[in-house]
Amino acid sequence: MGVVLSLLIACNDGLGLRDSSEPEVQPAELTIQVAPAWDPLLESSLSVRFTADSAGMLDLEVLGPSDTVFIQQTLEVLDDGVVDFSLGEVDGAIPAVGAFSLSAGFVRLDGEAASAEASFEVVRLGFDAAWGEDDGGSTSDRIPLTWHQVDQAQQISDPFSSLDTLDEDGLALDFPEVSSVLGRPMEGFGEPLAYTWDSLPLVTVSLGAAAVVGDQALRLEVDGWTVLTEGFLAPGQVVTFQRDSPLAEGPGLVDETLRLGFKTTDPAGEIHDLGAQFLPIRFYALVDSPTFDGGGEVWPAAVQPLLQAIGGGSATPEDVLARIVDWVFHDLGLSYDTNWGASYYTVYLGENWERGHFYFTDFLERRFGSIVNCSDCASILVAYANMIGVPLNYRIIGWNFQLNQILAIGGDEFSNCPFGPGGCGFSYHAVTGGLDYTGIWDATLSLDGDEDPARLPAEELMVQDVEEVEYLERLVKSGRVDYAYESQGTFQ
Amino acid sequence: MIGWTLVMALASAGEPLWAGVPLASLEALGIAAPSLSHLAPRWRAPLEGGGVVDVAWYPTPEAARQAAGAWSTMTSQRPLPPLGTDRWGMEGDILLVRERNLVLWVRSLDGSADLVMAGLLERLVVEVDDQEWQTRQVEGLTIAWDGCGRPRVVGE
Repeated sequence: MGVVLSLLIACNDGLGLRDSSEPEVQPAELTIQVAPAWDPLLESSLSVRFTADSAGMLDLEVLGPSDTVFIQQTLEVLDDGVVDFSLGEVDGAIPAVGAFSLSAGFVRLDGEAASAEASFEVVRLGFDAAWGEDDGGSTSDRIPLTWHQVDQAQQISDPFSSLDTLDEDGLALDFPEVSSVLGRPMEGFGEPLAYTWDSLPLVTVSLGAAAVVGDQALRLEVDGWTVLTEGFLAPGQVVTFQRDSPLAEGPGLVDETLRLGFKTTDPAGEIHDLGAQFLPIRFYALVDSPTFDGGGEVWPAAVQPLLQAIGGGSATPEDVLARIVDWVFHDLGLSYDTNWGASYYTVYLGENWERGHFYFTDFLERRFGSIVNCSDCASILVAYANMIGVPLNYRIIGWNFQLNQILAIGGDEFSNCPFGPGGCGFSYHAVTGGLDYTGIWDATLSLDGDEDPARLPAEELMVQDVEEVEYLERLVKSGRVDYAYESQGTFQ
Repeated sequence: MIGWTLVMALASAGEPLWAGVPLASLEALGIAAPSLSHLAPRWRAPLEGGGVVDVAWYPTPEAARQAAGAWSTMTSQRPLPPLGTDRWGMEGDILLVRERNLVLWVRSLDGSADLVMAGLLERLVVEVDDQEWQTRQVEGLTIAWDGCGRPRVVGE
């Protein structure tokens, strides 16, 4: 408890003169310590400390706005002279906002008396909207998300979280949880925010117009963030603050609940914590803006599970792609079409190998099942990688060749005949890489990484940046093959 | 998008062009709601028994014939064996059929590919009543799909 806010009035026994043979009687003393402001909806009680010089009895009276009596009470003061009193609801009534005065009369056991007064304000604090902002990329780069089910992009000028009212049924409201629905915005929930992984995100909040701050000099403090807006809080006013450290060391999902702490400083310079409102935020830490040809979109339904899975590594493209391949190959429950190697989620529009088209929305819902082929796996890698800012193309390898030992996605045995006896080759194969990469990434299959990839036993080699010539050598048993087409394709 | 009337006139020398399979008839074939493309007159839909159906419309039978030949090696890594004129695959499992100006593809996981294909072929129509089966915004354009799943831009 902080500064003494009291008027100290010491009284003697009222007789004026004492017998000089009697020991001198020290006057009684009483001080009151109380914060200058209180929001009963943020903190259910206000701590008041009375400090007397000895034991005795204390009469306390608290008057609210218009001098209405809020509480009258007599307290016993023990030998240490300290009484900690908790001011809270009275008969279920929450104190109304406004100025309160607190007066106390103390009578020591020897009859000496003292009194003290203090004041405080009951305030109502709360932010009602929060925006995610950036500074054009110099320290913070926000990337709007697109709700793919309704083809609606986030507007940076719109709040990502908001409240219709600061309190409800006598309870202060925190900002809502972030929506778990990823295809469309959900009223009453927060939205995720995407930034590049090394950003120092900027968040702006506005104090609700219904807030009451009285004469208090209120400030906002957020642990781990620096408040950039100068001046004191006022209803309707916005405050911007910035994260002190980058979101992550690479792509990933960062969940934070910000403590928006309200502080005030009393005339003596002591800082008082008036409680806090909480703001849950889900950050998508992306490698960069989407790298699709001509821009592109970032879908929460796609990137959230991806970032959850691949977080914790570096942001170098090769590392990120390796983690995406691992996730697709091992964790998505996909398996290869060992009858026909048919495409379930990818078509080549106009029968053009460079116009691959991925039914990404259907894939996210697994509408066509969990069986896939190489075109599907290449589409999956290309869509996910470019969506989080790692450029990647699919590449078509042709044509009609026999296979060395491979382990198809979802399988548990190496074979050079993925379609059974007599089905030991591919008419084509789709992988990913291209651009400036020298390697290949493939989530359809693992190669045999030993010295004789044509025969068992096999040593699994995940296709994560396998040099492109080596890839063909390990994949192909016989037949003239080469990388024939390269493209990014489209998706819906 | 070329007007359907014009296309019909161009094809008038021979058999009329198919408009396609009425989307309203798919449910009876065990085919769930199709995913419509704004990039091509083509739709893809899941089979309730597992698998997928793809139907594409072409402006001429010859274009469809060429496309079907390409499909036979582009839709699966295992080349589809020919089953006869304009027909590839394996009964029950996977079927690719060119029918006039259409290419139809069925990959069934429960052995019903031939039944589904037969059902699709039975339901082909040369005209479709519903010119706006679905309308929605795509990349800033208002796209309307007719009752056979063919898109056209109807606004910006």
